[in-house]
Amino acid sequence: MAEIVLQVVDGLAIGSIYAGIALGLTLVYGLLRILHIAHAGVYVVGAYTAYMVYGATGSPLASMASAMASSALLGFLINRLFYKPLLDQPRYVPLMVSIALFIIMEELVANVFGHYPKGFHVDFLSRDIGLAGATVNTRKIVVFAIVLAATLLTWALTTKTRLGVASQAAAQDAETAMTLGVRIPLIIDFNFLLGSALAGLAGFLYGYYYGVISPFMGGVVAYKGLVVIVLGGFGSVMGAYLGGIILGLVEQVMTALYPDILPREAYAFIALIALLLFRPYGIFGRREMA
Amino acid sequence: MPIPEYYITLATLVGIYGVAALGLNITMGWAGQVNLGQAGFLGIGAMTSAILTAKLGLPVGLGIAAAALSALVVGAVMGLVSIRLREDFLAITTIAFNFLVVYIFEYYDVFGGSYGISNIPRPSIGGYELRGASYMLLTWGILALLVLLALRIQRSWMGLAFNLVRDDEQLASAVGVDVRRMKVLAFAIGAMYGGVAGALSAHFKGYIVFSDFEFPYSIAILTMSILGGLDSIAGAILGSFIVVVSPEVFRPLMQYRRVMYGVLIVVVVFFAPRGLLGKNAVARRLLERMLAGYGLGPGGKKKGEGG
Amino acid sequence: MLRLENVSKHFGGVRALDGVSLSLREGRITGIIGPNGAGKTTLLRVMAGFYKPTRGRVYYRDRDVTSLGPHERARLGIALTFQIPRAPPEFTVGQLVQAAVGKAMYRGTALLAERDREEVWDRVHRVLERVGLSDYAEREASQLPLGLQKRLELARALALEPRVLLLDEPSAGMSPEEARELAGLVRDLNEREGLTIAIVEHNVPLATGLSHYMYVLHYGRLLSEGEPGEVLRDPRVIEAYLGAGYARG
Ligand SMILES: Nc1ncnc2c1ncn2[C@@H]1O[C@H](COP(=O)(O)OP(=O)(O)OP(=O)(O)O)[C@@H](O)[C@H]1O
Ligand SMILES: [Mg+2]
Repeated sequence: MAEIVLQVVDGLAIGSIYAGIALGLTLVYGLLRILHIAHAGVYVVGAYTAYMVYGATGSPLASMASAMASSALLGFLINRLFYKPLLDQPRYVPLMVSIALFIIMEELVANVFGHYPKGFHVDFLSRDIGLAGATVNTRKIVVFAIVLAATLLTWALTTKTRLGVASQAAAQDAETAMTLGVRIPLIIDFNFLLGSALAGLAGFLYGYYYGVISPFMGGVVAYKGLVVIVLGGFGSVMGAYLGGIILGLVEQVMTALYPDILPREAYAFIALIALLLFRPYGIFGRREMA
Repeated sequence: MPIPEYYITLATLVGIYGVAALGLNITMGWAGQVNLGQAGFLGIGAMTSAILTAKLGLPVGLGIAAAALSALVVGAVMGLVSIRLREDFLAITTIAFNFLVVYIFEYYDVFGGSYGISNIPRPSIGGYELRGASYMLLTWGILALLVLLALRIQRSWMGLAFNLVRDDEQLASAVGVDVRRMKVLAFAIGAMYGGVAGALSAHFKGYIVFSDFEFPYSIAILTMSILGGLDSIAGAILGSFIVVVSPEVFRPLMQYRRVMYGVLIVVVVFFAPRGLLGKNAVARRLLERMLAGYGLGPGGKKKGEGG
Repeated sequence: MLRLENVSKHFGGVRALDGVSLSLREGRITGIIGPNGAGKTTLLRVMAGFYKPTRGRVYYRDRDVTSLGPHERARLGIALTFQIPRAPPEFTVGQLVQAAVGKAMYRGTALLAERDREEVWDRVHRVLERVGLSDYAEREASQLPLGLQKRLELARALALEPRVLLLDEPSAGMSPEEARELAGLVRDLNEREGLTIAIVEHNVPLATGLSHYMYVLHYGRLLSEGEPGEVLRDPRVIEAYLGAGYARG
């Protein structure tokens, strides 16, 4: 029992970080249909910003806020400088640029801060408590709670505000939305700012949770994030959240049960291939008419 | 005076990656099927040949042939999957394929696990072991054969069918093209090139390990293809040359080499999204004008070509 | 020759075709008319295999071809022209016709046969001449005006050497002069070469002038059928086209 609780709590915490990353990806994908790999670079930069600011101020809140701000700005700039001019190109073109930007960001961070992981110990609600017979660190619960709150907020922003509703409409059908007076570029900026801030938050939470960050922490996550948004149905906020959580749980449980079959990182990709074979349009996706 | 070892190594690598990039051109450039996992096919070819030759002691020629075949089969399966997917899903699926292949290599001892496979033999002809310049010649010989095959495809009905599938599937089927079959073929053939490239690299280095086939290598190969022009045979080799040689050029910038590589991709894609030798590309037009000046221009009688 | 039996085709909630049975008689021109959105294009596409019917069956020369894909039907001799011409960028007019000339070559070892051969291009040029596009062989197809692209559609279909020709609004985008020429060509194809033809037309006089037999579609159902004269006198047809008031008055 205690073992199960432990695994589930870990799975939920890790899944929450995936969810934070996937939320941003899905906001971008829904509108631009760009597979935004560079999002993982934004996440890494957010983590290092959090690290620096925490070192300077010692304030967890300032650290988190600065991570979100720097990531938001970076994501915004990536869109303006790199994606916007490439929207008419074949789809693999912005994808290549996105991957290249990711490499550049990763390497710059590695060159500035060193290739090795850095200890990042945030002193905030980090205590062991008893939970259903297991000893659980409160950080895991905090991570889960913060991402859940951020998801609900994002969901509210995208379904309850005028801008959010317009954004949903634009994701469904950009042309119609435009003729109805929706200002698409504004919405794209809004989604990049919001989605990238969430990546920064996830970067901060990663450091907070593991107590360590590394320039290459975005490596596999960049692609797992894509898997999560496929699992959750492209463009859906709640879907991305659930996709992230489910992936975290599946990885945790499968690795605990069968440590020797495959590395934990593999499950995301297996899940994806299995899903696409049976539901080639995603869990919630519908077949599009020609 | 013998050519320095260093240049021979570079030339061999250009040939190997030229094969890989050429395969990607066929799948992506000609038939329009996104493949972001070409390094996975290199891995399948390399592992096949390494296991057969290093572990089972079969001749290298057989190993390379088996590498081609195994990549071809896996490529066909990938092609069958691709039929069901729209473009973005296919892109992500091929990425997932690459990751999975590498994880499997890493976790299973047949593939040497995290130690890899060493003592992979070099090919030999009549007791003479090919290494250095002679291995480079073998590589370029195989590249030449595969270029001939690509040319054959380009000028055949298959080439036209690929292009039709890429540009308009309904139109393709309206003229009798079996769209699905073409997608499977395009994937299988491109993967086969990848498998051969993988086997060539295994016998060149003598040692392979799972991390030699990680996703970033797929991106490197794709960069070669795009750089040269996704629809150009010569472009694939030019792209391979540039990507293989550029780290050497950037050597003084040592620690920023990978950054420069990223910048290279961005610059290329921004200023020459269709590659240096792709249709209507700047470099291509310059080259053709030059050749025409010497009376060597492509005198394609049926190509509606203006200038 | 080509027969639909109780065919329905639904797109989500839209019933584009609803229990349609009809047949194209061998060696005849069959006209299909109906208001916008009546299901005419859907009907032709079901015949050519681009849509699988939701219900019902399709027979070609008494063989059930319902499960055959469009490429297989093209090879059997069923050729469709698209209502909106298909001319991807960078293909020349000649290349698109060449693609159809190669219909038997897209399988087996023939796939690797050289395609730029003299007899192939001779056939391309013969077909282009037939539809009056001889001077355009080397032009980029997507750059041509709609009227010429429509002729290219016809050329591509003819290059398949079909037995059944399905024409989706072939005269759209043509001047009256061009439309007359087209009508002459269609009649010629039917009378001299014995092609079985189905023609969907908004230009009702053109359709009635050509057709031996006609069907009228309305909201996915057959509203009327018969010789052109009969159909035009049918009050239901008049009502469908011109509104109820006109029919009574
Ligand atoms: N691919 C599709 N997906 C969804 N609905 C479709 C599709 N194709 C046709 N429809 C719908 O089916 C109905 C019939 O369309 P169809 O194109 O067959 O009509 P049509 O008679 O050819 O009209 P037109 O004269 O405008 O060409 C219309 O309501 C149309 O909106
Ligand atoms: Mg129509």
